[in-house]
Amino acid sequence: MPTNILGISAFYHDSAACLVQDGHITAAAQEERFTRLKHDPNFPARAMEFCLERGGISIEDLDYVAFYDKPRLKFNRIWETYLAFAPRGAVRFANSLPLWLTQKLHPKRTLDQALGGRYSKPYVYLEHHESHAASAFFPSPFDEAAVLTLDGVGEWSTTSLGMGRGNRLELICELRFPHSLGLLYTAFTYYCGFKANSGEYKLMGLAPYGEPKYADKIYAHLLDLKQDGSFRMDMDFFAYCYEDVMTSAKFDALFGGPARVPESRLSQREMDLAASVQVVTEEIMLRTARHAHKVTGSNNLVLAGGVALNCVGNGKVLREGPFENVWIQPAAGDAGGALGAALFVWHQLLDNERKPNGGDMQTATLLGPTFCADKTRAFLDAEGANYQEYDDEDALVERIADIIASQKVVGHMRGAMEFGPRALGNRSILGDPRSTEMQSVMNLKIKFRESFRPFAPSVLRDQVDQYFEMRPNEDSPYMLLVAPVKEEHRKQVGSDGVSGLDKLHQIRSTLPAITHVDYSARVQTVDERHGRYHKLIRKFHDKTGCPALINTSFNVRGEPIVCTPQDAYRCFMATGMDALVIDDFILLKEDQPEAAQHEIDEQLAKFELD
Amino acid sequence: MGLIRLLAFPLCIIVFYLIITPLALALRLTGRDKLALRYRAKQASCWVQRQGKSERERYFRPS
Repeated sequence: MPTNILGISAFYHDSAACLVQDGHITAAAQEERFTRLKHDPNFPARAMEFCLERGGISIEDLDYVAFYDKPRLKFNRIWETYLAFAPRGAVRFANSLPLWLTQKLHPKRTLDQALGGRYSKPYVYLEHHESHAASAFFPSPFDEAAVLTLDGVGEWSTTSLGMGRGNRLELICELRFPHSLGLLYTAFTYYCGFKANSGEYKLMGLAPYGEPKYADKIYAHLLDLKQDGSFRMDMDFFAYCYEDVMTSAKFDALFGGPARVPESRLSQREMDLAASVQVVTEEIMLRTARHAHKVTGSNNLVLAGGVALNCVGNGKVLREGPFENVWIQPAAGDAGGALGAALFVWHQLLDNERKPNGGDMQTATLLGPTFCADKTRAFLDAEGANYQEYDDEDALVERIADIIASQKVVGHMRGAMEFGPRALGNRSILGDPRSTEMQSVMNLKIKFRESFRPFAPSVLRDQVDQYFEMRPNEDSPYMLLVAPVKEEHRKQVGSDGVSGLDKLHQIRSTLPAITHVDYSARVQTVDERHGRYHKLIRKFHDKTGCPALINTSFNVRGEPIVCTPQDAYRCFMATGMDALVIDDFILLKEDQPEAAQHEIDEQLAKFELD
Repeated sequence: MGLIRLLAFPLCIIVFYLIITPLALALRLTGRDKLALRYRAKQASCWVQRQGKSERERYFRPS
């Protein structure tokens, strides 16, 4: 029997489970994909069930259960925050204290219950940033690396800097709550009318429409930034220490008005605010990376924590920072803590060797559930769906490539689900990036999301330097780097009088659907590790000369990415998608019985706007 | 259980204003600043060194 270690992140947001067996990552998944509740914070019972099933074991076979944070240390921070701000904070105190006293301060009891009393071996508790750091370093391709973790907050840490060597990881220094780059970004997310802890991606997408007019104000009033990337924030401008809102009245006064009402019209002001906080974030990330290089002397950098999902900042760190190589944990948010915690037990606590062999050990992060053809066929038959089943992969890939090349939108589900927030081809909606219409079609008719949001390309790795400012064969398998589109593929647009969202309608390159208004793209490189997805793009390239596809997550706005064939079919039927691929099955919309409007409405109403 | 839940909120509010607030104000008078809220830091760096955090037993405690 191997040594079985279960990693758990839970009770804040993005719960997840991960199973590590003798140092190998067997399975990992986020709970939201099973429960269909976006960012589900509850104990990841179903994700755990899947991990154990994949590992062929039961709860009794587990040797260690590793939890991704230290609840009592976190409570210590919360307690000190009340002491620092009282008499402000009474309502939050009264709302949260009972839950802490009855549940959160007793993690062993809570975990025992969640595991049905069937687990009697040790629990391991890591600090939140140790879990992030472990998720960044242990699966990375490097023997040694500087480690940076940046997020909202764990227990006390908001940024940590450390060093990984062989099978050891050591955190050296940190920035502490309430001074937090993640929370600064979230404050602006909230102020611009997007959801805190979920809309940060939108703010990043909005930034290129604006000018960083407010950056000086941020430096002058909100932030005392040091040369080495460390900083203090002036907490008079923020309310997150004592209320459930992010910013204070003083913040409103500084930026000339109250926060934007969610879902109201976006104005140039929000775009400029987004651009400003993005510029400041990139500057802090760069300075922090330079400091990490100075402290550790390493040429490699690994990153995790929610801020490491800021792929524009990551691209800057790679291109302008001092490190030769950068690896970013694809599940950089809290879900990845489950994976980090489990690997930490194997390498650091049990002192098992770590032998990187050139590539990372996250296996393209395809660590989630797969589904067998028999069950899918039975489901499709029961639904009365019309489909074609292929037993020849080449013919199937050829057919999908033809559909995409004819300007159709394809929902593509195959093999194991991705672990982490990005869809990387196995739970993706795909389209032709050469199309000038595709961005607005996909945003408005298929994803039902805001028109300004950009789409990302999946591109053959051996062609990446032909289209983007990247090195030949540069690896970005997890879509966490933004790079400029190459000059020779750009089309110049007139700049006179065009501002804000009007920029959206201008054609900027030979791949207009994936070129953002600042000529950037969030690139995913695809190679043999991606299996059939790689073959598909290769085939599309053979047919059209274009080595890229639009790749966006397979969901509608507010919905967790699809997990099962059932989720995929329902999403397909409720949207304007033209075709659906589930493993070896292809369904065309025109062949399907029409879904009744009320069924579509019911399906879409299930998901709260994010 | 229902009654306890119902009473918990007002009870917590009372505790907050009668016990925690005076304690907090008194501690602040003594210069306590655990959250480093005094804004413009005089030092050239705000990094805090992590010390004495590597012993193994620590990982088996939730604190």
